Amino acid sequence: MSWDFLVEAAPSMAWATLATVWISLAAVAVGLALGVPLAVAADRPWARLYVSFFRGVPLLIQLLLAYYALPFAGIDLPPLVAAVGTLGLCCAAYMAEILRGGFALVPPGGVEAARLLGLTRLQILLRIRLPISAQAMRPALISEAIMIVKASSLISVVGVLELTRSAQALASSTFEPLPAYALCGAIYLGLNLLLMLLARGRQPGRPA
Amino acid sequence: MAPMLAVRALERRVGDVEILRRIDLDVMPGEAIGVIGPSGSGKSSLLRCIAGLDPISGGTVLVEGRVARPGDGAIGMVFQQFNLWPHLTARENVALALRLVRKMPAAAAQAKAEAALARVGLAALAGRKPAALSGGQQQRVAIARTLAMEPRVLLFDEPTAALDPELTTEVLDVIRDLAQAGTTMLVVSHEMGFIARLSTRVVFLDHGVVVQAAPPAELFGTQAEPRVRGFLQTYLDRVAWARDA
Amino acid sequence: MIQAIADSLAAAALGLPLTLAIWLAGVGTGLAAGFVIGAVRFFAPAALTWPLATAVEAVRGTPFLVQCFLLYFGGPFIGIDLSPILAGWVALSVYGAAYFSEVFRAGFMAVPPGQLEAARLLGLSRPQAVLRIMLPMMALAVLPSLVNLAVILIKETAVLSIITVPELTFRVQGVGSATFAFAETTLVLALVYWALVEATAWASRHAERRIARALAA
Repeated sequence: MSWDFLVEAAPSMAWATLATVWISLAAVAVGLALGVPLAVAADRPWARLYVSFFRGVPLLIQLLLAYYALPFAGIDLPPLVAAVGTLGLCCAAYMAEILRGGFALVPPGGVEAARLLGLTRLQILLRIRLPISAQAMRPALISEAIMIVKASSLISVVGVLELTRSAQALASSTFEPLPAYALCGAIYLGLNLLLMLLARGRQPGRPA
Repeated sequence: MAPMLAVRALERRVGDVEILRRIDLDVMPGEAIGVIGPSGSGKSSLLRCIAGLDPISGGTVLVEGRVARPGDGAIGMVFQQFNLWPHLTARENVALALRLVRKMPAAAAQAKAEAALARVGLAALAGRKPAALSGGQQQRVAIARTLAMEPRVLLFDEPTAALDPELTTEVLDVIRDLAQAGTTMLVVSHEMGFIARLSTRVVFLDHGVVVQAAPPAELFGTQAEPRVRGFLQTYLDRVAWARDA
Repeated sequence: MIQAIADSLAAAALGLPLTLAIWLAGVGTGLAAGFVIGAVRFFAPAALTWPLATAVEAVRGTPFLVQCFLLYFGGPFIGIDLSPILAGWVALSVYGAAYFSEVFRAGFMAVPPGQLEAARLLGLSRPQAVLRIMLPMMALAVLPSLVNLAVILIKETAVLSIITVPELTFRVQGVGSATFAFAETTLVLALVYWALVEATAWASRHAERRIARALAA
């Protein structure tokens, strides 16, 4: 990778990295927010159908659906919103499984005590079940976040400018696809290593 | 005087198994009822049905003439396994329901939580999480958590069964103090000496039926029913065996 | 609209064999390479295998799409000039191998050392102990994860359409481009993949149970 190439690539790739970061953050936020009710309703038919669909259809096809089929159904969203939304909806299906597993680890006695003291179901979910299981779910949640960072590359296909799209542009403008995609891959790797450090950084009982 | 807690024809069935059969029990204000009996006799089920944690198949449970609802302050329960919330400090464990259920402002809830913790002798440890407390201390936090909601009736489900022997006294002392202060309570326990000293009446339960309900002097004395005497004898034999061993 | 759906289904039938072929081939090579990598990383000292570990992390930490681009568009610059199908197979194998290797490695680590020691004490040679004791025990433990990963790889094959592998997605999208009936064609695609993944997951669960029974018997 030549110095000239890096100088040319730096500005656009830096912006694109930021775009990927916030797109992933938004998708994970949507995924978590929707994952909680999905996890609670895991045995209901609609929740099963939801999880089955979003885990059964390739994300690429889901994105194309949002891009092509939603306007057809009269729902016209800006590509960015459709893309981030789809990523978040898909993420929720995976989050639901993680959260369900985490909730199962909460000792039933703690929930019973809360019920007896009069906490509502929502309060028990948010104040008792979620925080108690959070620590145990951390590694799985971080893995899911890493999957989302990687999956966000697919939204380049519907024309949203992020890392992969930016690398494509760079590859065609410089006629140097090899360094362009290598740089792109390295940035993804860096982001994910950062996430892994985050997962490892604050585990209890581990010397800092 | 009207009973504080009125249990009428309480039944609980799970499938074909009858766990509780037509239990009748009136508890007057300020009474401390000891509940004893062999394992599987339905002692815990009785408390859980009164608390509303297990569904009942028949009969009624009334506190001051009304059906109790979770969180209305009628019934509080202390569990064998403490059931503290591990992510919260002792103070937060006690204050949470005050804030979320009683809608108390944070500062007032804190103050009340600390008062409750002081009452069980744990004012100094309010900032600790359960993992940093001994079993006995955890159980006392659990008692404070229940006390802070000022229940009319307190239920203790084998409160010392999960504790090391040397930690039981501190918990039993707290329960005794509460009883002496006039708290209406039901205590399930295998600590026979404690039950004998604490209770105004003792209920002996076997196979889901109240075999005898009498003041401790009668139930632990010569007027015990044969089945009760048999149970107490095996219990005393075990104590004697342990002492002589 | 009916015409577009019919055309999409016809295109799907045309593309499905390649999707399945590339998936099976990718899973096959991925499993084989993953097993070797996992075994080497388990049995050889870490000081020797760190390049392998780095490679696995690099593959797991980057998007499959970027790997495809790197291989298909970047490859020719370093003398790796593959047809789309060949590139797709290689990319899927590499991606699968990285994940499979981690499963195998975890499987090796999960076998209690006492089991192996007991076998050695009874007089089995080390290769015998590994082959007769360790591998069967490990196979049982890793089977569900392997199956899960294999099903995930079906979905990844859709990405290969972007590097013009004429598989399911590519073919059906071709109908979309020709007719502009993108909504219908994409819907057909989604349903076909959904059915494919659910059917595979169902079938593999069955197979998994039978294999587990055979191994446990």
